[in-house]
Amino acid sequence: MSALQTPERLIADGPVLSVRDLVKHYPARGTQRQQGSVVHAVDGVSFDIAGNETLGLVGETGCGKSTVARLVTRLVEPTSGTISYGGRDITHLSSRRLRPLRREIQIVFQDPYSSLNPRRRVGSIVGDPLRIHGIGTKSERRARVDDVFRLVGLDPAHADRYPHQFSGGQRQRIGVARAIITNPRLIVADEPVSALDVSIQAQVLNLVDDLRRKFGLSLLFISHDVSVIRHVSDRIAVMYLGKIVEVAETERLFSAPAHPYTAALLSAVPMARRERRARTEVVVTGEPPSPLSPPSGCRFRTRCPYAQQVCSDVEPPLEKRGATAVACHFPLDPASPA
Amino acid sequence: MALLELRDLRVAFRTREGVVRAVNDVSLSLDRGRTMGLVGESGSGKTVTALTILGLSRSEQTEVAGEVLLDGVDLLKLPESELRGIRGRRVAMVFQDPLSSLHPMHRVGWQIAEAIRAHERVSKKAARARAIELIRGVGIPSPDARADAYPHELSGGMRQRVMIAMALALGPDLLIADEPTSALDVTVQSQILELLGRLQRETGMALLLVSHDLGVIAEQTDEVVVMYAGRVVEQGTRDEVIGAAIHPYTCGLLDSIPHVDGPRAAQLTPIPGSPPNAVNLPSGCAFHPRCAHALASCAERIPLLSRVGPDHRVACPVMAPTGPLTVDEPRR
Repeated sequence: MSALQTPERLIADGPVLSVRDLVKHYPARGTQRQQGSVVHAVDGVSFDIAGNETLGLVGETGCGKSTVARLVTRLVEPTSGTISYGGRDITHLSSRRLRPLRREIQIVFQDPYSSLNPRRRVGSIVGDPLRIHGIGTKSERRARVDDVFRLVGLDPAHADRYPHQFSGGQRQRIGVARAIITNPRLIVADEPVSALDVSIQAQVLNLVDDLRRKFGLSLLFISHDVSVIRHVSDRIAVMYLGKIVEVAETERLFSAPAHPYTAALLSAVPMARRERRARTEVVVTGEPPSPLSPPSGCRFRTRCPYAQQVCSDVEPPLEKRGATAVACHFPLDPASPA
Repeated sequence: MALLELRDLRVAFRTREGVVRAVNDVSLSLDRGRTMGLVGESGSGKTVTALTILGLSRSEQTEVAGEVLLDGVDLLKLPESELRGIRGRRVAMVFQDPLSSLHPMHRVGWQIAEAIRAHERVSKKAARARAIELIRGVGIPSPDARADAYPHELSGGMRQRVMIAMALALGPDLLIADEPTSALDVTVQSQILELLGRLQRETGMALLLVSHDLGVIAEQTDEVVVMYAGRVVEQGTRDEVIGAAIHPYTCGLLDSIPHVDGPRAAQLTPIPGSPPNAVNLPSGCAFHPRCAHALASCAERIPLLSRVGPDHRVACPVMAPTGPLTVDEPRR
């Protein structure tokens, strides 16, 4: 098969990925399990990703962003909600019927050490998806592996080496090579650069961006790093404790954050090239509550400087306000950006 | 006299693969009340430098040379027994991972009290009272109740506050914080950094902040030391190093970070290649294989730090060719 020529796509237009009211509850561990407690990892998340679009999903530890990655790639089963790929509901497809779709939806994991089998040569790791999907002959597959090695900036001569012979950045390139070898339409990248040093991180970010442009990929890019998310995303969804609290175009989100949590997150990021400023913008206190027992109403209210009674009584829905969708009873005024 | 002065510090580890030259000829000096940031990527020697100050890298496989002067006394020459009196009392340390630095089976109040009683002859009751005051001082609500909590009952941010309380228990002159916020979320990180800044203003201690995060370093420190492959490549005030970086490595680091404000760059400018293996460092300037400005001579001689501004020193004969050689003479 000729390397990376675009094959017939399933869908002409409409969102590539569409997620509605996705919920994932895990049973709690230990003694709380007997009491029937559940971890509200993802609690009613909806979003679309268009063709060629990069949606950034940003949030802090435990907000459920990695669970979203695992749900949309069907690595874990949702408690409720729907996942549609190219207009087709794939939420309950059996693993056999899901298999052809796995060529089109690929995932890149955070840890380039634990996501590569240490006992297999990297060439065969990268070629695995082709073998599994029965694509091409052995020699065609080998040629294709060489192609993607070159694409991600690795020497095809190193395909016979083992993962431990590569640096962290190179291993992440191997992870990316494995994801693009089937010529997917959607890549879910879960913290793909978080384990890398900054000088290497920039190399991998540029690589992902190059490939995205070259092959018209849609990307769900998940990160806790606000500056990385800003760099890669067309649109950004901000998650807090299992819910999306704000969705907006990248420039819009950064110039006029509407949710107090977004504003707090942006102002908490330490920046190298900027005048030192007092941290006075939106300062939040405390830490996120446990997803075992999220607060009533708005989940951010326990840390929010603007919280009122209504915030604990009524959960604010994610609603369009101008160019932004925000889940807040008292969104920040876009005229006075924080 | 500077509170802390490192002179030509060298640390090498003998390993099966060969000798790892983790720290090479590092000189720096830190005054009372000041904050110095030690920045570099994995394997740059920043943590080994910090550990060596307190003799925590001592072992049979370690070779340490140079001087670590605390108020003029060379800590490297002190026997372990005397060093123990300095740890915690004069120089305290906060580590990255509070969960593995706290004892999981003791209540945190007890652990702080124990640190006090290890250095001072005070009653258990008095030590506990001081522990509760310290817990209050680091901004933990209901300190009486929290003193009886076990580490696993506290959140990551709370644990790091407990570590800071313990470090401050004996009123040290110098606090060494090794990636103190790297395991924390940004909203919690900003709280911890603010706490460190406030405690420093209140106590007048000096702070040596070790981090890979240039943003944290830029916001928190007065002086910055950039390390690469075990050597200082650039040092100076925050504005000199972050605002007017000269060394190609420092510039490369700054260009590699995507920014949160200002226009979005279409492409980042990464540093090509990857950091060298410390067993087998490149000849001459260890950065030369990755450097866009490298000349043939860069592979021959290890560049010395030369002065380019009042406090600004750069180890790059290409970008900073002039200025007297100052490698033997620590700053101020």
